[in-house]
Amino acid sequence: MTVALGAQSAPSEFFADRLPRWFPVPKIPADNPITEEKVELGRHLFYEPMLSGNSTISCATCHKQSLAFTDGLAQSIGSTGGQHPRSSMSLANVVYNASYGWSDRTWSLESQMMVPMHNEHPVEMGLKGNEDEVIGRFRADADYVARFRAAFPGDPNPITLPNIVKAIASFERTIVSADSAFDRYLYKDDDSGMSPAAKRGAALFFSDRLKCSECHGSVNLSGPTTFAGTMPSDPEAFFHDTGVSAQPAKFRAPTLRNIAVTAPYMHDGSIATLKDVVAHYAAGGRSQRPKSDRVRGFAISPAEIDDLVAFLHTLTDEKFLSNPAFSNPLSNPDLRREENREKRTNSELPAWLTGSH
Amino acid sequence: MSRRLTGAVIALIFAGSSGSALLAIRNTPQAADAVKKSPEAAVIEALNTGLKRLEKANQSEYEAALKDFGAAVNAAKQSYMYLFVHDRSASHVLMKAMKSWVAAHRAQPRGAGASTVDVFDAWLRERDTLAMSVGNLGHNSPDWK
Repeated sequence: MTVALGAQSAPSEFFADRLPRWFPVPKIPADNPITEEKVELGRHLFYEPMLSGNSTISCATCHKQSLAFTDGLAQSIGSTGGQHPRSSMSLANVVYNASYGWSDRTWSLESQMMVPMHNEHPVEMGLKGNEDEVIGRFRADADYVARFRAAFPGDPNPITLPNIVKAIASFERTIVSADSAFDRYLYKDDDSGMSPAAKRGAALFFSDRLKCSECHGSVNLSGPTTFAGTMPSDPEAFFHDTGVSAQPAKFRAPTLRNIAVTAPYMHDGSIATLKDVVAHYAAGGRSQRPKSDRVRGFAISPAEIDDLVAFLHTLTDEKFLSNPAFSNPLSNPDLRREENREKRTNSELPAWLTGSH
Repeated sequence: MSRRLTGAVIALIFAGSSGSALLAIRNTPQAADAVKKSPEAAVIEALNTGLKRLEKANQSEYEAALKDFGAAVNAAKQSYMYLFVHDRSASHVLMKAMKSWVAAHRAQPRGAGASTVDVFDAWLRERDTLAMSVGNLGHNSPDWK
């Protein structure tokens, strides 16, 4: 049977072998149907430093697979050394997110991606003003020319920024984490990865006393999710003030999948450990100012905190962290990054590059 | 998940059991009947069959009967797990039926059979508590479109 390049299939068919039965079929936008070729192009682009204005960073710089697609920093650093006010969010299961960004009111991966690409305060990928140069790099690369043609068949001019965004979004939609120890326990009756402490912790997580699952629920143990179904009618319901900031500020509840590898925590990376996160919520947040009525504080013993943290560790999907399907397909990406370091416009190398942070 | 499809899957789970007592269901008119049964009816029938055989077994038959009963219990667990993934509301119904069965029969088995029921009971309690806890994990719809 001959399959046409870029052949489209319904989301349920495309994800048939990629999702366990207990995960819903994701919503795929009609203007960006998902294909194998588009996903593979997107994976290359995700790890490609050429995509940044000065060719020094890629999406993967702030979204490292081994850290569940975060970067291990309290606040991310852009291509010119500028520090972002926010911590890098995990891309695990982003296809189910009802909104994107910590506090952005962006509702699709495609629209969210424009933020790091064009942001100037700080500069992140640094495409603004450099779009033509960046596109030119890909047009001069025979491998990318072929990949774009395969991903966008019938498009006479496939190498464009909108298509770059569509391809990366398509790849991101396949980044699914569904095989944690807790998943295996819950859906396969396999408790080999669940210690007695973790089981007690699970009970606490879902308890009426702590109500963690009130904000971290659904397939992603996160705030509102969306799939082939409906979205909550009130988008503001997605965002809650959890009392982290000195001033009122509302943020989306991120996924707790792989949370053990995505420290530090919160929108500003201000909380270092999971124990400290639990303490934050037990105390009802950092300040006495009004905040979300879901942040009420609760009583919890030191032993219970350990149990809860043990449970959170069972949300790690070890296979996901090294799955070749999501890994870097480029050869010597670190070498290319080193070669381009001299092109950085900021003469002072940030501490994260020199390793002194 | 249609009731007919669910019934067919549950019947297959029991037909695949290694228990010789349950082989009676395989390739017989009962197999077709099993498709029409509710999951809880199929599970309870298998448990009752296994328990009855255990109770009637003489000394030389006991070990085989115990193995069959264990197989029926394992098939009951598999049926529940299948429904937990595919039809959550049906799994709640099955759980209720299995808990009622244990409550009604836990005094019956003698010897190692009692231990099998005790272990099954502990498993039911754990799974039931877990199922009640994770109600908002968004998997209640049996068919995602």
